[in-house]
Amino acid sequence: MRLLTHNLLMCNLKTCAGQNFPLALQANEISEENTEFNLVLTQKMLGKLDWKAFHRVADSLGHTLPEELTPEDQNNDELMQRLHHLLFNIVVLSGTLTCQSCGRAYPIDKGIPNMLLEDSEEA
Amino acid sequence: MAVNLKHITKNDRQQVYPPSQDTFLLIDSVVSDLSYIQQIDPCFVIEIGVGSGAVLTTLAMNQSFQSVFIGVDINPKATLLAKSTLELNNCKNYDIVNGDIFRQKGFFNKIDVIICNPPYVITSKEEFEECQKRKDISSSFAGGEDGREFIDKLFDFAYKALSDKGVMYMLFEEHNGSFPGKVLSEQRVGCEGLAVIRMGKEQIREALG
Ligand SMILES: C[S@@+](CC[C@H](N)C(=O)[O-])C[C@H]1O[C@@H](n2cnc3c(N)ncnc32)[C@H](O)[C@@H]1O
Ligand SMILES: [Zn+2]
Repeated sequence: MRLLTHNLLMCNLKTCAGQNFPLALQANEISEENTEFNLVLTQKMLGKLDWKAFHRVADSLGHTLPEELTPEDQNNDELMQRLHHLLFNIVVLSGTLTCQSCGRAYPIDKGIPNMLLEDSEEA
Repeated sequence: MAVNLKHITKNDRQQVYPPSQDTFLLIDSVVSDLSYIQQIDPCFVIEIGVGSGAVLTTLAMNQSFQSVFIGVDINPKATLLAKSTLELNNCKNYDIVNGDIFRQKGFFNKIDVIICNPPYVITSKEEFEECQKRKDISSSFAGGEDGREFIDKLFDFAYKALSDKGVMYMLFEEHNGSFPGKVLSEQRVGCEGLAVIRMGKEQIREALG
């Protein structure tokens, strides 16, 4: 799971609607890829991203980012390269995603987050 | 360059919907419409029910637009196979999620292109619900009454998930009915009449009724 995908995942339980995001990430195993810097894709992604959630998850992995992103930041090459690396190149291979509202933990295994609910939780 | 699927074993084929005629019809139709996708300039492309990963991998291998490719499937075996298909074909900027797509509300308003070859086979409502719970290969087929139950849920999800410029490419079978949109291709395979349609957000809303 890449951090850009973390930005799309919420607790799947209906009872958590409204306070199901972002999920807290515990990363046990991370691999760092090194795909080439792609400014166009990074800028597109910033238009979609919930910055607060991304800021928080990056922080939990020890990467401090600015509290807010200004339009000028989009031209800051060094920052853009860092964001590209964080969004696209960091892959969480194993760990957990935990709902801050209900405590439900969703495992990440072989790089794939498992959002499936048990039958008893489905209602 | 065509997608390499040689790693898919006999065992995989019993547990995951294997690349089939509908899969290839969907691939050919979307590839024939690449110029439309290019013009949308998508950021997120998702495949709902990624299965073996053949469709998503073909798109991710195509370098004619820059985006992120996310495959979602309810069947854990499918997600593992799709991931290895993407890896084997040296794709970049992809991710795989194991989950029920209809619970992924975090996708709302963010997705620019949805691709889906849904479970479209006519079954009873009970069988559809049972198969959705099993999260195995049976979830690939069972589509409920008129094979429309998954499709109707898909319209509702797609309408909420797509960005304003977003589109959905969906395969369907003639018994499912007809839908507003642009039919890109049609093919008869045995007793099935398959078609692939491209629907914009407004057309999806119309289909929702
Ligand atoms: C007809 S198969 C298509 C597989 C692949 N896209 C292809 O074209 O070969 C439908 C897929 O949808 C998946 N699926 C069924 N219900 C789902 C749900 N609620 N959420 C996510 N995936 C689902 C099945 O597990 C299956 O892999
Ligand atoms: Zn929760």
